[in-house]
Amino acid sequence: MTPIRTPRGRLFRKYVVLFATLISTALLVSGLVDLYFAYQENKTALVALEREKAVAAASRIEGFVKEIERQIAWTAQFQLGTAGAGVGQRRFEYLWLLRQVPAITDLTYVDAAGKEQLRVSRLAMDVIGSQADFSNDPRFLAAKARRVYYGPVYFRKGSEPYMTLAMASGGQAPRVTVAEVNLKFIWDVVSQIRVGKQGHAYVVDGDGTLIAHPDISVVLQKRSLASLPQVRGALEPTAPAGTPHDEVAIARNLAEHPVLTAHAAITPLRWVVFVEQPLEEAFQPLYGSIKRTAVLMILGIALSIVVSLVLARRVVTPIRSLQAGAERLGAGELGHHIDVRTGDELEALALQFNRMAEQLQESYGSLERKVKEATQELWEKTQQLEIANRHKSAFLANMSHELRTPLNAIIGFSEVLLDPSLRVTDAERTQFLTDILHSGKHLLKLINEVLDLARVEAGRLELHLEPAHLREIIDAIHATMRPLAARKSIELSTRVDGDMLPFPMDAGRVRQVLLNLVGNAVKFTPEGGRVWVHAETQPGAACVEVGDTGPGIPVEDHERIFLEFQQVKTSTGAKPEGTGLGLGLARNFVEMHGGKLWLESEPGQGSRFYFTLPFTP
Amino acid sequence: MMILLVEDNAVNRRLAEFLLRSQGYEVREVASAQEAFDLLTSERPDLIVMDVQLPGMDGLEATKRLKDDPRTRDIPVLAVTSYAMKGDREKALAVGCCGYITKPIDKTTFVREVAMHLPGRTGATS
Repeated sequence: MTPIRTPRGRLFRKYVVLFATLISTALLVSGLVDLYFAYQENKTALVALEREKAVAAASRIEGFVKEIERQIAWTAQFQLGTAGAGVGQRRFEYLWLLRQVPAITDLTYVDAAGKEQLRVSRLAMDVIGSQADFSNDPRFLAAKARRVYYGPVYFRKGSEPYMTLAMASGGQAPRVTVAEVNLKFIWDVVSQIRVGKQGHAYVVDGDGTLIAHPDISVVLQKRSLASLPQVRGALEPTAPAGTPHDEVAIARNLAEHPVLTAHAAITPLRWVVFVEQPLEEAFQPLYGSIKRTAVLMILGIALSIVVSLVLARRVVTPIRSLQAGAERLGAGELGHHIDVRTGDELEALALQFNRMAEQLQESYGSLERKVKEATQELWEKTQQLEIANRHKSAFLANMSHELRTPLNAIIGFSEVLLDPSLRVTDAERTQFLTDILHSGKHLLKLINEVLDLARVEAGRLELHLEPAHLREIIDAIHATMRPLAARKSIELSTRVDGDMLPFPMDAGRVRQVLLNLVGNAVKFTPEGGRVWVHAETQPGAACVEVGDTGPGIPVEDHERIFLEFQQVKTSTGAKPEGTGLGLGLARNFVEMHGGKLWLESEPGQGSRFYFTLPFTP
Repeated sequence: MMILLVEDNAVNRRLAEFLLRSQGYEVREVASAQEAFDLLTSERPDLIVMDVQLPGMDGLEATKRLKDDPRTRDIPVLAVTSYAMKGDREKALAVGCCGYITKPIDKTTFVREVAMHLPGRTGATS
């Protein structure tokens, strides 16, 4: 049996990978979802915080501007009667306003016709009635149109931000007050705003120009931030106010750093306050959280691998022991017991394997027994064949001997009698001729018996069954054998009990049997002995006894004498007459009639041969 | 010259005896190996003509015993057998027989073989 190459460890690897993948994926997904929401919440919270600050700043700036507007409006509410007296009054009011509102540095009064009537400044001499023409000035026109005019931011002394504010007062003929406002306050507001360490606020005007930033140098560059997406988004409010969701929350600042941004508009001024914080800083806590999550995840995955190993081992170990057990069973080690105690289907499988192995073992056992029996049978048959073969060889050797013995006499004596150089007396001649005749007869008998034997053995001897009288056959035997017996002074008697009716038999063969038995009896019985033939009727058969007072036959020879050429020695130890085939043939003939032939004899007790002939063969 | 004839069949014994006597040999005849041993205790033949197939102890066995006995070792034994099977001759020579004759015996061959194996007369006849 060729060993099957089994892929080892595949199942284990598969299970480990499966378990590890399952657990890791679950961990990863939960971690990522967690992170995503943490990020979103963090971002939302940060943006909300920024917006809050932006809104606060915006409202403070708006408040600041509104306050100035209010002061100016309050001052301008008084209507002046005449121009000359009015200007003085107005000057007084303006000076008061300057004192009241420190952010205002200059105030200009323009009459309804657009002529400058008064200019009050903290830095220069007051100018009265300069009559400078404002009628086409956008400040005058805007204010006259009952709108508050907010000029662009400009700088004095290189770094002081200023803005012009103009507003009208009065009835049908409005007069306009133009104020120059120092915007340092806005800067203070803006630079005070801090988000984290690097987060800051800045303000752009309606055109996107930077007007306030903690770093003054950036402002002085007068850069337009309109290109930044968050600024563009804030200046082009496509969505109505109050929907901060559309705002750009993550963008890039001037230095191209990603920032988290929020803004609030200062409505009347069309300014926008931005509060921004570098993403890196804003998400610092989030990064920490990511790191923690990652570490936890790696730990989780490592743990999951360990758990997978353990789980896979628990699943695979019984399978492996099943596999190993099956292999050993397959290799013929049927006594092997697979030990799996998992309490599940695998244990059931192992039990089935064990049961199968037991059954196999039993089958093997019985098979072996059968083979052994068959071998034994074969051996016995071979032995029988060998015996038969030996028997055949022995038979041939015996035949050769038995044929050559009479031939030796016939040829030898014939030669002697024919040789004129040998002197043979008359008595010798008679003796030699008698020997030749006897040998010839013996040879004929031998040949006949051998032919009978051959027919019997070939199964080609057929009985000629015809009703016959056993008594008549016995009488004939008596007549034939009496002279021979008389020559040895042996008393030969016959007796047939009762009325024995004729029954079917092969009379010739029965005569042959009787002749053989009586002939043997006469041959072996010493002179003066007795030989008898006694027939009686038994239930269903006739039984014939041929007895003598001869030397008897030892029990060990009782079966041997029925074999071919196996004769019992005579009392002198010399070879008896006869062919050595007669008894075997006699038994064959009797058995062909359906009867039996046996003997009772012991040395010194004579012999009694019996045979039965069924009435219906 | 005395020859011991061991032959169980009376007719054949008669034939062999006649042939041997016709050559002028003195003949002692027995029907079995045992009788031969008995006779050999008192007499010493010049040759033994031994039938191989004897009742009881066969001729080969008897020859072997004779050859084992220092008193009878030197007596030549001529085997006569009716087996004539392959290997019989070798068996006979192996146990110490000096010659081997098969039945039916040819008168001339028989007489020549006997003469040939008699001590001091080797190859004397024809």
